[in-house]
Amino acid sequence: MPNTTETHTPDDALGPVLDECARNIPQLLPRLSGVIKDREDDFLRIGTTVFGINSQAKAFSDAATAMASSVGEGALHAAIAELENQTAEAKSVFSSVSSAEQLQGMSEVLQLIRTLEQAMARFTPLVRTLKVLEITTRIESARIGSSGSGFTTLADDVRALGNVIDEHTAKIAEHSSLLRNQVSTALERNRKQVAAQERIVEDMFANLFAGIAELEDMRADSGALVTDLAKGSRQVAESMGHVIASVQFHDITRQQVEHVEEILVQAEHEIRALPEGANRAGLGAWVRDVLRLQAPLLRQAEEMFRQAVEEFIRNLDAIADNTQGLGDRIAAVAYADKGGPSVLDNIRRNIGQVMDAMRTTGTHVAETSKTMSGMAETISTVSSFVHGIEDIGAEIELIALNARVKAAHTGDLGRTLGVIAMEIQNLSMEARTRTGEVAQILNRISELAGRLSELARSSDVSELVVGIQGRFETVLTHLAELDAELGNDIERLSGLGTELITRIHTLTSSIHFHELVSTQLHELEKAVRELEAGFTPFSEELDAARQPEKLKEQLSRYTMDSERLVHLAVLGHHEDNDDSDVELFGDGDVELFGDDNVELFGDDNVELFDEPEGEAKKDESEDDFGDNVELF
Amino acid sequence: MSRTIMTVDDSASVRQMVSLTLKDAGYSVIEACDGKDALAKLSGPVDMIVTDLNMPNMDGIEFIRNVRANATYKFVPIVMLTTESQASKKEEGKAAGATGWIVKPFKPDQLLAVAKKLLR
Repeated sequence: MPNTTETHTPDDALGPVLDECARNIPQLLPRLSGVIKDREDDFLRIGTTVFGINSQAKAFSDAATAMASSVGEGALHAAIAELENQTAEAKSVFSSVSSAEQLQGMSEVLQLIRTLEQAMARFTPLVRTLKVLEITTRIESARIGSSGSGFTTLADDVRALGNVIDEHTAKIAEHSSLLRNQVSTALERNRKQVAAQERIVEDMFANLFAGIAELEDMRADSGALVTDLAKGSRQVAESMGHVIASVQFHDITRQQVEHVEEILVQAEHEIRALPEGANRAGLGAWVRDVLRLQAPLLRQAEEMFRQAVEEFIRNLDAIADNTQGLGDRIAAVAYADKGGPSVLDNIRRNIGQVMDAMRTTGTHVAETSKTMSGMAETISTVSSFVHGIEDIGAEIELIALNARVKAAHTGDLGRTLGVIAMEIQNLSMEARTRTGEVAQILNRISELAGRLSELARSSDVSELVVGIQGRFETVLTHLAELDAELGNDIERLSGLGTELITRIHTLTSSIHFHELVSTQLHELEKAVRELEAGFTPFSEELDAARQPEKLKEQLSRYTMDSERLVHLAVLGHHEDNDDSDVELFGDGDVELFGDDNVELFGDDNVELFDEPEGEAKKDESEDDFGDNVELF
Repeated sequence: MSRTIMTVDDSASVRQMVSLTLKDAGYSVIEACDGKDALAKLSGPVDMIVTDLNMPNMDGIEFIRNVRANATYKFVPIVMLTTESQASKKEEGKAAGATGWIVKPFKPDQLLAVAKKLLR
């Protein structure tokens, strides 16, 4: 502490304070010299790693963009469109199978068979009448004795005819029943087929189209991803810009600390050079102001250095987070999701179901066709039986004629037999009507069976199914290849992202030197403040002896706006002097990363451009390098 | 063939940032630690120079004057990359023959945009 006893003037008392400064400053200098400069190797190591990270970030971004682009508008887009076309075609083919028409035809056949059975049933009273006529003939023949002996033969003929009709109607009924069963079975099967077909159309195709729509949605998502990737890439590039700017703060803060070092060296020299007995107040005032200024300059250097390193770490971590986020977004639209069945797997399964259903329908159609062929055979058999009774009417008529002739021969005795003959004649007409009906029904059944058989043949989709399945398999194989390609790309991208993130975290977690630098700069600031505190008892004298010219000279030696701002904030504008030659870009907080540092000068003595002057000027006006760049 | 840019700075970390930025963009880079070192290395084709202002042995202004005095490099664009931002210093640089001025810290895009403009 300075001696302030009555025997010494304040100027005398300043001597020990200045001596204290001269002794202490040389001890501070090596600490100042090394505090930032010694960290150069750390920064060079960081710089090399940063550019490695930059290359990796670019590789990741390029790969992600290329992948998203191929998913968005490339081969996958075409393959999905082809899949949609094939599905639409399959649905169209499926819908064209006329099961409903077949169902209608079979119902009609069944109805006709019932009509046939009813028609056949009407032969029963005819046969019964024939039997009655046979018995009546035999009774009448016996009554008239020997004159009626010829009628016995007639009765035999009537009985034989009745038996023929019985036999044939029984066989027709038997085959009609067979036919009815065949048609009923086919009809039931057909109904099931129609139901299955409807289910396929409604459910399976709906599922399939939903799957394709999902693929489309994912493709559309990938469009959004492309935008995100472009944005993410810009953010990464911007962050890298900040990172690279941060690394330069080693040089910036080193210079700032060097300036502190230089002025302290000057202070020490001036103290030591002060002649014995010279007035100390002027030098004391200047040294005090210098010390007062260096503490905040060191504080500012510490803040800039620490903030730059912290921002460096923050920006790199942001790149890691960004990369992680982009990786997650890409995985979200990936078709080859390893976590469960992919959309493509679901589509593949849906197509398999549709193909199975189409094959089943093909089998049903083939069976229907077979049933129709079987019906044709049965109808043919029935027709032969109908043919067997077709001439019954004519035969009955012959018997009736024979009866009338015999009745005429027997005279009055045969009058009753004449009535019988008339009755037989009537039966012949009814028999013609019945057989005609049956033949007509059979013809109608035969026609319908033929039409249904043709319909079944035309509805045979088995060949079409083979074709469609082949095309589906081609598309699916292509999609599977694209899927695998995408899977590989994702794996590669994931690897790149993981490497990048790991490298960033390894680097950022290893950076601690800024904490040591901060501590050292804080200690230096404290030491400077302690030296300045020695001048406190002499404030009044020193304030009166300030050296504005010298301080102004110091102001002009700074290279950075940030230093000038601190100087002006601490020591003011040196009232008696103008500071018009000091130009500051800002008057507020110091901006570490402002875009106002580039200037290109429009210079006539340097030939830069080959274009006409006007065009060159136009181009220049369009350039925006940032305010820290100026081209002369 | 890639264009060659010389970076002159007494700070190894700044030289590294400039060099890696330019190399990453496909330029060839020659490094020098001050004006004197730069003049000694200035023998072959150089398309652009990026130099610091305050350096030991020979500062940026003197270096530019020397370069402009050499007919081979009379029209080579020279951009100052410095912490200095005073208008008077810029005028001094311009008078010496500087083509442009970048105040540290720079961002890679800025340096590359300047190089692209001056080397087209």
